[in-house]
Amino acid sequence: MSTFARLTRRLRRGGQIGAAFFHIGLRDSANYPLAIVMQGLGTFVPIVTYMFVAQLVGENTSDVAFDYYTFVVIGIATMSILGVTLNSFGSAMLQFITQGQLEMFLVEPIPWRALPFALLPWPVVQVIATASAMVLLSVPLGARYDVAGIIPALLIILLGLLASLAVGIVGASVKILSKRSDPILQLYTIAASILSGAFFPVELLPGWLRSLSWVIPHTYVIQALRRVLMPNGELLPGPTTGQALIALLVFSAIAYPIALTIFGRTMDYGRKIGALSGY
Amino acid sequence: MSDPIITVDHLRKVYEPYSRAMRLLLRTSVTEPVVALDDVSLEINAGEMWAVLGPNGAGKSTLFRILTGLTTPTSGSASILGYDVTKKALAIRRLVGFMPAEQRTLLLRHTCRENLAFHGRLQGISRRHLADKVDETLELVGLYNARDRVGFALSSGMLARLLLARAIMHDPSVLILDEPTGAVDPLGAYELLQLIQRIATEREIAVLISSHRLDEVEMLNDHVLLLNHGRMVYSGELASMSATVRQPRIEILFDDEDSAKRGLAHLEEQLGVTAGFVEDKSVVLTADVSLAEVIRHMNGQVGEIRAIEHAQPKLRDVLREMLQDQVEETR
Repeated sequence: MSTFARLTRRLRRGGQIGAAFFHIGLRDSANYPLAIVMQGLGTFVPIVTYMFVAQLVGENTSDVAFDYYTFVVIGIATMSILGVTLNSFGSAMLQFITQGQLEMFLVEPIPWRALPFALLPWPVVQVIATASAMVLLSVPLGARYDVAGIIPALLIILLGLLASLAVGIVGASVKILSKRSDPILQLYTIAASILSGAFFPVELLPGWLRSLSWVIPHTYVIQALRRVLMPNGELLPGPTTGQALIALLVFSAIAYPIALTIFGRTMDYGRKIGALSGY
Repeated sequence: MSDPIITVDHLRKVYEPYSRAMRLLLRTSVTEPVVALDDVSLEINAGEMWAVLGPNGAGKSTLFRILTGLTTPTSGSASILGYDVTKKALAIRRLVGFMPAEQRTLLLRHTCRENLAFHGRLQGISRRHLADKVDETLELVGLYNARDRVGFALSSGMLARLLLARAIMHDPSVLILDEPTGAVDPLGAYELLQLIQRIATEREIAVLISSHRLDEVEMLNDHVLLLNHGRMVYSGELASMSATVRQPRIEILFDDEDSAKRGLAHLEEQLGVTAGFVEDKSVVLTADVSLAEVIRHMNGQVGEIRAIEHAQPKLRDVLREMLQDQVEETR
């Protein structure tokens, strides 16, 4: 079989597994309509709150491209999108363990390393819908977006999702063994909230912290999205969109082999010591 | 004869206490190595049904977990159709149908059809054939009329059938059933076992089935693997197993348990019988003693005796004796 045929077969199989989990996730969510409504309502809170904060902050600095409200809405929406790839895999694995379903998935002919990707499509669709609602809601409240930036924004989000999934896989690996504690993701989420510049410009951070900001993928995703979606985005200090994309690609290229190796070894170790089913 | 479907060769599994680093993440009650399986060897052919018996902690679940690739053996090997269960786990998972004991492994908020369609997709059944395969399997296990009902709306017996449907849907060569009738009423359990037997025979599937219900094992009347503390006590045909314990066996049914105890004491004194015990209202003698001798010596108590007969040992008694023998051997 040629490499191309093998690749096509693998992609088709990956699509089939992804579709199976997507369908189940969709049906599962549909079972809890109130939860969807409450989640939707939850998107109002930060969007409305930061509208008032923006009035207080004003718009007279290039660090926020002269529009703090749009600046922060993009930051919040991006944090929620990337939060899914960080947390959803570990949460799903823990849920499967506690519901007694993980072992049933593990006896199916799925390469275990494919699980992080197979479980992703539904939560991502869900969070992108939520983030889109945030952005749409912010428009009548005063946010301004460059419509021409939507297509590049989708590419940036895709790369950002992939990059943060690598961190999510490492976090999930710890969670599979520790069941409850999740030190890697907890620390990373705290760091990302402060260092990514989601709520304020990275330039406000002290110099030594600012250099740490550019180690985490969140900062690049938020920076690039602001550059393409904000009308004055090109005025923002920091890396250009191209540089941010390259940084995300480099991060993914380094992080994935490490993350998947850690995940594979965790599963093998869990299998050996019999820790995949208990909680 | 063709090659066996399942080959287990000197399989040993030891669960070690967690390492110090691991204990930082998660506490465990295991403080010393636990030998879950010890030197288990077995060959199972197509169409054979093996009942895996043993008390709790005997190693049944560990054996199943190794055969499904959920855990790895410490030493020894196991293979299914020549595929090593450790090295070729992905291939193994297409060949094995696994029915776990727990019904919550199903997607209980989803319908029977959705449960099977999900499993079918993960097994790689093409979209073109999936719907037909789902309906055909539901029909086979008698759930077609409940196809659009969610798991929570099914009885325990129906859930057991759905678990079975999931295990057989992808046409496996091996069926591993972990206490399939655990939550099912006796009549439902009987029907489920008949169904399993029929499917196994028609499809020539090698079946491993664990159960604590000995009447079910007797009903299957095929092969038995008896485990105790991870060690293999017996493997072979059920019919031959009874012959390995002491014979003959005489059962004397008394009016009540006290009379039975007095009767046993009397026989022990008169005949020097030591291989006897009281079970409910009966005295069971497993020593080499004739029926005539027993009748002669029970003369004084005949008013309290309701029946006396040669009897085939019950499976429960056979197991008890075999497990007792093993305890004595290890002392």
